[in-house]
Amino acid sequence: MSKIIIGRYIPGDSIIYKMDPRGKLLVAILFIFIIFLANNWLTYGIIALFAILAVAATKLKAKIFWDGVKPLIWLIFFTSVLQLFFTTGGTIYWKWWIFTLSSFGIANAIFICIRFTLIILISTVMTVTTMPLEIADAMEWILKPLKLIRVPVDKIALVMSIALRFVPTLFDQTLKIMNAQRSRGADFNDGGLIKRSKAIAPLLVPLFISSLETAVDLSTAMEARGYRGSKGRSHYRVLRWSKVDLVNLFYLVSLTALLIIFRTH
Amino acid sequence: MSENIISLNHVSFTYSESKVPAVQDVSFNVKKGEWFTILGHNGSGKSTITRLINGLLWSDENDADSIIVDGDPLNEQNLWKIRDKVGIVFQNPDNQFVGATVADDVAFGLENRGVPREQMLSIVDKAIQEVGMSDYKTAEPSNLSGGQKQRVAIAGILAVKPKILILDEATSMLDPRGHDEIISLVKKMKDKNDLTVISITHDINEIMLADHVLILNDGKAIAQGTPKDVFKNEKLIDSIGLEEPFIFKLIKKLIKAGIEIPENVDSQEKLVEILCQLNSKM
Repeated sequence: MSKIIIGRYIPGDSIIYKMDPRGKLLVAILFIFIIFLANNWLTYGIIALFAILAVAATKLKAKIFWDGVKPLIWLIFFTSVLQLFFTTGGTIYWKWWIFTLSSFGIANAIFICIRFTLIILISTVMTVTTMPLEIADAMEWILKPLKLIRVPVDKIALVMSIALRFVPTLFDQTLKIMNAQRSRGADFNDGGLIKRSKAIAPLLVPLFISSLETAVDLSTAMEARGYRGSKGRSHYRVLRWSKVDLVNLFYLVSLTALLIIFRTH
Repeated sequence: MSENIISLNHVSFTYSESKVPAVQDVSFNVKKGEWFTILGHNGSGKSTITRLINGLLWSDENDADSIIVDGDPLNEQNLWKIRDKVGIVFQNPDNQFVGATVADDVAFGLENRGVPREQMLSIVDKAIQEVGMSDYKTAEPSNLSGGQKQRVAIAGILAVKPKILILDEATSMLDPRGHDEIISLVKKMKDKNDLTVISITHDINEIMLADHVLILNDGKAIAQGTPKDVFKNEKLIDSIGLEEPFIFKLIKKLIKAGIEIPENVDSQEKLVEILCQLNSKM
């Protein structure tokens, strides 16, 4: 399970680490929209260059980003193949039944492949350089306007930060329960689909119960420490915009501008 | 000594899912600045009592004067005032850590009380320093040992400056070293901040720190007094399945062996002194 790179923070010390998580989150989200502005070779080249710049700016090993792309490689491959054989137009090289291989198809397949990879790369840059807690803070900030329509943003923020705080604890607990069941003969890695899903029961049931117990204990402890809802609470952790975030803004603005200039209609 | 900081008058409590009361007609007074220990085997109602003191649970009678904390009767109006005065360290160090980092957790109580951020920064730093966790200020709970987590819990409570510190089996899930660390930290903090400590424990040796002991059995208070007084009644202690502290056992064995030990010996230091004196006389 440790292979999954999405949502994992890797400590480092480059310019991207110093950026405000709110800015990073916004840029990562906007990047996904901006990428659809690209529609020719030049614009795809520009956006790829910008993404590679962002990756390079993290000063992390390339392998980390490869690990990020790897679990989704089949999805990328599958989508590209579909594009390749089902797009018509341009010069048609080959045709059989419903499959066609055309120049448009080839271009589209490559574009889709680039698009996917870049989105994954940019999200990886974001999650790898930002602590989960900072991401939660950033999300709270982004959700704040929803207060106007009475969405309990403070409570959602508390829920998010508690959820994040318990991810490693639950993970440890899962491993412990797995080992305890293994020592009594449970087998989690063998057999067919049905046998394996049956083996999950002795893992899930205790995990559910212990999570509920933890929740009860935690709520008692929170109440004992004076928690009475989000009203009147102050905040220890605050986010501050710094000069570094201008770099982030410049990145986004110049990328958008370049894409709009060079895009064909 | 000084006035009572906590008094319970004939308090009973029954959990909604059971018919037998978990706490039955319990009365006791805790004096200001005292180390008060509640002792009893599993399920004797010890933890329930701590939850009654700060209103996490409400007693069956719910009378105006059944529970009085620092002069205020426990009721709806005083609830938060009383919770400000009472800090509880719970048993499981994992399940009471709210913040994602040490500093966040220590700040949690202050956040709830709406303390401005500028003040929080220095209070949090000081509290973390007092429990000796300065090096771990930004550490996440999953990277801390059980003893360290309990120290953070104590820091979080000290930050809001309570008058009463309750240890609800706070050391029972720790290894011996973690246990000793926490107990000596609490002793230090008690003297420094003029705290009243109520400790709930299974650990028979921990009661040697106590000024006053209350023994619970099946929800009833069956004995109270100084540790020495309480453990004089051998039959009673035996009948509820408790064991005497090592020091008392040793004294009894010594007396049996014909060595004269004075009545007032109730601590390891005193016993060592007496034995050394006897040795030099021989």
